[in-house]
Amino acid sequence: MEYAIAVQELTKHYEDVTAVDHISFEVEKGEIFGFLGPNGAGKTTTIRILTGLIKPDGGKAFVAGYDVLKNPIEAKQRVGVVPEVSNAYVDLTAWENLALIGKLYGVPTQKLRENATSLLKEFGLYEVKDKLVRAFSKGMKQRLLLCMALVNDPEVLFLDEPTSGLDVESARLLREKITRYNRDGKTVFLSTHNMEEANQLCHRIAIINHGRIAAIDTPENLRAQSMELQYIEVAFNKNVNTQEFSENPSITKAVPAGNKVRIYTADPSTVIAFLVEYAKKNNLRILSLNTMMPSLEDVFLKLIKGKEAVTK
Amino acid sequence: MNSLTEQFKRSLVIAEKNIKIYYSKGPVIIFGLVFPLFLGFSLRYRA
Repeated sequence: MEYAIAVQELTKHYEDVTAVDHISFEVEKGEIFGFLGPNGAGKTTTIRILTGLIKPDGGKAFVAGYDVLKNPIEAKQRVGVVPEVSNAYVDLTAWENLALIGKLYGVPTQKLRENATSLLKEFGLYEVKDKLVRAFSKGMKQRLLLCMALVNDPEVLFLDEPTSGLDVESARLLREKITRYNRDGKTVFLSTHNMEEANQLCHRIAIINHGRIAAIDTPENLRAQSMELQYIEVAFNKNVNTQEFSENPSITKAVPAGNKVRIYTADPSTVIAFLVEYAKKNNLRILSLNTMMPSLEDVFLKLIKGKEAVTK
Repeated sequence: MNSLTEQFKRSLVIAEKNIKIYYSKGPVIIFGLVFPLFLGFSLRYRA
């Protein structure tokens, strides 16, 4: 299978700091691939290498079938990038920004005009196309960045925290557009801090920490690998001593959470039976009882900081 | 695609953008073009 992105043993050092440490992964064509990690994990460095902005110290990277080191121009012509920090010129209008990017990519004039018009209309910016970007809100700028990334009709779209700092409506609009463009066949490489966003959008997720890949899988499989992080949240009509729960071998940990007790277990059915029995024996009433699957955030924290960080 | 002509065309696009953003400003035109021009004239053709 030909991959949209293939990375082999990629390494990058900044003086004595290793930003990316021998990472390898593949992104299939037409996939939305999430890249999750804490600040300083190496996400942006990886994107910068893949988009040809910086050179790696070791390893290989292929984008749209082209080696980013040997054929950087061919690779760059097939990608669109939404960087972390806006790269739109604020002293140019929205239209001029799109025209500039289109011309730099060598898009023919007629095609550029058609692409720019349809993108601006689709992203609700056509009415303000002749206004300076300086006057744009953060959401409008972010939409314009996505238009700029799409104006050359790229095969692979790199998005570095595209919804960061956006209001709910703008973020939702951007997510809808990302999904739509993916349905049209574009491969999306999405770096984000937002677990919910990664969960909703991504077909597969890589979790990177200290420059190394901690896990790569579908959001569902990542959660399934961390079933010990599932918990039962139970509320009784009276306060209970959580120490008594910890003695049960099926219970990993029991911690008070507001007026509820959060019980971590790999075997929820046994624990639910135990709780019902416990309530009967102690003349308690169960007000609520919920079994919670581990969230992607729990999985992320477990991989980054260990299980203790999640169950704390 | 990556011929010299293509590269030249692209450098013109960047130059046009730079003129629009940085150089077509009043102070730049006055102190960078008009003032040196007239200073040159005054030194060249002084009475």
